[in-house]
Amino acid sequence: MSRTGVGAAEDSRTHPTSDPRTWVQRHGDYLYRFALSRVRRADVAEDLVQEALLAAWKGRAEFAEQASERTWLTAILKRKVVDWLRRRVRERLTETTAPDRFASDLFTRRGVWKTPPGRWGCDDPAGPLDREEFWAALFACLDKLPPRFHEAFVLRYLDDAACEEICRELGLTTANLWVMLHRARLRMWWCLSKNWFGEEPQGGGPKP
Amino acid sequence: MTCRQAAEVISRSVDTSPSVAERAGLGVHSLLCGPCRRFRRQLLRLHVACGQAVGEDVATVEGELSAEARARILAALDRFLAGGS
Repeated sequence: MSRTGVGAAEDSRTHPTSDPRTWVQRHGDYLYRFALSRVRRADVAEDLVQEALLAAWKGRAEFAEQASERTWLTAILKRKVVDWLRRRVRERLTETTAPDRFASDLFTRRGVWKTPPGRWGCDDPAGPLDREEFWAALFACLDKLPPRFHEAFVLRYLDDAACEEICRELGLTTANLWVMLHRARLRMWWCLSKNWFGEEPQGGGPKP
Repeated sequence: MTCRQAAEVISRSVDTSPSVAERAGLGVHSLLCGPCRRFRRQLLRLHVACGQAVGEDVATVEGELSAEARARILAALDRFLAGGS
């Protein structure tokens, strides 16, 4: 499913404490892409990679030999990404939530589907040919999500607990988080219905 | 419960537990509404796929560290190493 999955040839099982500068050579691009996919800002992705490598060097004693160097570095980077997203999402949640045109446009005024969900063909995405295309469609749809939805959505799937934590911290305003995730999901659902599963709900449909 | 409300409860139910009243409302609505049953199946599938796409160690975009960023990171590591920690 990946262009850059873990376990590539570069993956190294050597002990990582030798020279952290080689990490940049061996894993820099991989780590950068991991971060960029999730934060979508080159400057932020670069900073997070740097922070992660410094943190990794500081915590090198904790490196477990059985994990690969890349897996270990990715796990550290992931925590940095989650922290960054959590701050962003928290900020967004304190803004008031305006009504969502996209969601309204999916339903009639009486709350009935304007266009009922179409059949999702290719019910088995595990078919070898369909798989690559499926992920490509999913990634394309993720990429189209507006930033505020993308951040909430990615945080939710990167770290289950992060959303619960935000809820506890912010109390009532967390309803906004579920709303945000719902709106993100409707967009993803619509986008995939159109681009992958073929049977577009008829009618022009809402604009993302 | 309308389809619009049902869609919201379906979506929220993958993130957190809806109230008893909402679950009951959704149950009744789903019995009578084929489109919402289909939407629910599709949304659950989307949910699983997103968990894999976002949660696993894959990149969804192309790109590589720019030469400047690379140099900056190496410099930061050097400073750090020189600092003796």
